[in-house]
Amino acid sequence: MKKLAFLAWIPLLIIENVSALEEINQIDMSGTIVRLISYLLGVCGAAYLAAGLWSRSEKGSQSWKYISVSMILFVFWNIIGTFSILLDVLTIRKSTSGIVISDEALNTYIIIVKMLDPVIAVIVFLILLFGLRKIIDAMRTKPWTVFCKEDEAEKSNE
Amino acid sequence: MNEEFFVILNTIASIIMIICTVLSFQLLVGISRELKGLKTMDVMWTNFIIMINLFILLGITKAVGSIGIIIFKGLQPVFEALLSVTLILFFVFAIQLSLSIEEITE
Repeated sequence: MKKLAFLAWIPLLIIENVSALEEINQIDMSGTIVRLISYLLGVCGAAYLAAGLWSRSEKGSQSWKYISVSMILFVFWNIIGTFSILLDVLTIRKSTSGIVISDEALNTYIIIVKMLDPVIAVIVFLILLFGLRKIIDAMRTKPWTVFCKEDEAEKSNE
Repeated sequence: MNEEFFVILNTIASIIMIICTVLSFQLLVGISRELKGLKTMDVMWTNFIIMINLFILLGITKAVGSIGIIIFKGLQPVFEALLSVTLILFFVFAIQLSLSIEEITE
């Protein structure tokens, strides 16, 4: 029972250590980890969905390909977001962690990330808009082409 | 690089993103109206509409957040938390949609 009682204290010890780390490094580590995990989950989800939509577009309407491309770019956007978090942490902890990187290189990476982030975000949403317009056009004019190729649909009609 | 350049770049990008997301939402409303004739694809389309809605929400959060941070720096943690929650929900529904698309493809 005493061992079990000790185990119950472990989460409290971890929380104490995390708060101590936050004070030392002047950075919200728990918030940063949550952001990092959410970006990585975004990468996984978007990549899996892009693959699914691409295979769907090969068997059906080409309009699914636009949303698939939008998802692939969204993967890149998430990767850039992950890099931006890592660069933020690196900037703050550079002096304490002993990582050797020049200020010039770090600034260059930050500028590249800051430039790419809004540009890719705009392209993602423009392609999404274009893809949705293609899908709704297909649904209004030839709804059978949304899930199967036009030639196959014509053959089956004959 | 100049800090003002990034402020202008982020503001222009945010405005374009808000316009795109609003237009995408209107198209999504149109798609959901057209769906009445495709009852066999119910699960896939439900997941598709939820996923695109979350994607639009993500875009609006990002765009409003980018402009909001310029005006008031204290809002940054709030927008980052909202972005993280939306991304996690997006992951769940993206997986659901992929699975339902796979079922239809097979």
